[in-house]
Amino acid sequence: MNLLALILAAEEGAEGHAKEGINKILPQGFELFWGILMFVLLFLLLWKFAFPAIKKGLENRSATIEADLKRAEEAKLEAEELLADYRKQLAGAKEEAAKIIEEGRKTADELKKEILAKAEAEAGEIVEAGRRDVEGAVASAQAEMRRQIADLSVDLAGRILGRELDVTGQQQSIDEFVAELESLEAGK
Amino acid sequence: MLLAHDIPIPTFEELFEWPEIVPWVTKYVVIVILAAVIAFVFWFAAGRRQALVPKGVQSIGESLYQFIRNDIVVDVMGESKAALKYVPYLTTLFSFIFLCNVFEIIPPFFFPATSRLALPLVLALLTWFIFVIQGIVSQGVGHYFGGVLFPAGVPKPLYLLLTPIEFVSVFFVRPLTLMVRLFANLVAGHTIVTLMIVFTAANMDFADPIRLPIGVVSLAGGVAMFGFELFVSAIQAFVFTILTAVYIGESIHGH
Repeated sequence: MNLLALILAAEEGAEGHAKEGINKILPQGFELFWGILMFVLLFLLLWKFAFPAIKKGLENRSATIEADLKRAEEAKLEAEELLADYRKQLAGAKEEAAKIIEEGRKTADELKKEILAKAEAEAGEIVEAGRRDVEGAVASAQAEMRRQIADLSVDLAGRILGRELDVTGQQQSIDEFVAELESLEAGK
Repeated sequence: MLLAHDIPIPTFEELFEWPEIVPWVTKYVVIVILAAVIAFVFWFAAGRRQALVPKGVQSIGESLYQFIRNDIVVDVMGESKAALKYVPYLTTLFSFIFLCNVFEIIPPFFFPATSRLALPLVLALLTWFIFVIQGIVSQGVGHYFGGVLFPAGVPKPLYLLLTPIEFVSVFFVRPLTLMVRLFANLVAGHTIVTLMIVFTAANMDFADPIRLPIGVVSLAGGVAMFGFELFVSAIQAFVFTILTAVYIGESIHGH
């Protein structure tokens, strides 16, 4: 009996203690109040004052980056076009230079040929003139020689014959003699 | 027993209940208010000056905002307008829970506001309220409750079994688990951290060559627990946020 009372008392005590324990965990009214007040207040303030700026900032940044990328792409295309243009121009210039050089070469060739031809012609003329001079000299030398031979012949004949031949009177026979000599020479 | 007899071991009251500073204001209330103020100052500072190359608080804020937008809202709820509308709410929820949690390891508070049942309860009820309302708004009363209670593609007789389960699971278990998960994790963390500190205090006796190493080890354990609890604070805030997103997403799209 005594034991039973003790157990009952203990159980009662445990029950009371347990109830007290759960009460300590259960929320109190003011805690709920402050919790919901501060959370909702925070949400409203952030929603109104903080998040729009962040959202806008992020959107602005992605817009800026996109625009920058697009601009860079355009600049690249333009640069490529310019480069192709320059390349074309350069190729044109090279061609032009080659043409000019070719023309120069052709002109030089023509000039060379012309100069050579002229030089050859001049040389020919000079040679011809020389030959003519030589021929003239030979002819006059022959004539002189012939005359002197004639004179010597007359002189010689006169001495042999003992009388002086009248050079002028005998001119005709002398000439005939010389001609005969020449023909003999030619016939030989 | 290694504990010295003269070291006061904190009782439950000291661990989780605090005397009112003024009526209706306890340490819990101070922490909740501080968490809200810090969150507001942080987000306001993050959005105040929009530099093209973000630095400091702007960089952290934008990363967190984009994390919640892309990795929680878009991944879980999709990219619809109705989903993106919840980015501010979920960001607030995450920041607020994290800050209330992290007071567990911030001196001189050393107390997570979420280890009082009131805060997880309020936040879980808000989530519950929002996903039910969003379901009704997105799908209409009949379609929403019909979709939840009578899932498509199930033989009719099974509804006898399935409908009560779905009803309890969606409308009671969801908010209850949300609340208990956050609450219990933080209570446990808070208790272990306190235990480590008390154990350190009891054994840090430089005159006693046996107790001193134990004190040093438990101090190291306490420091490690601080790091771990920082991680838990973030994880629990993340879990609460992503589950809220999952529930609201289901309400938007239907089952």
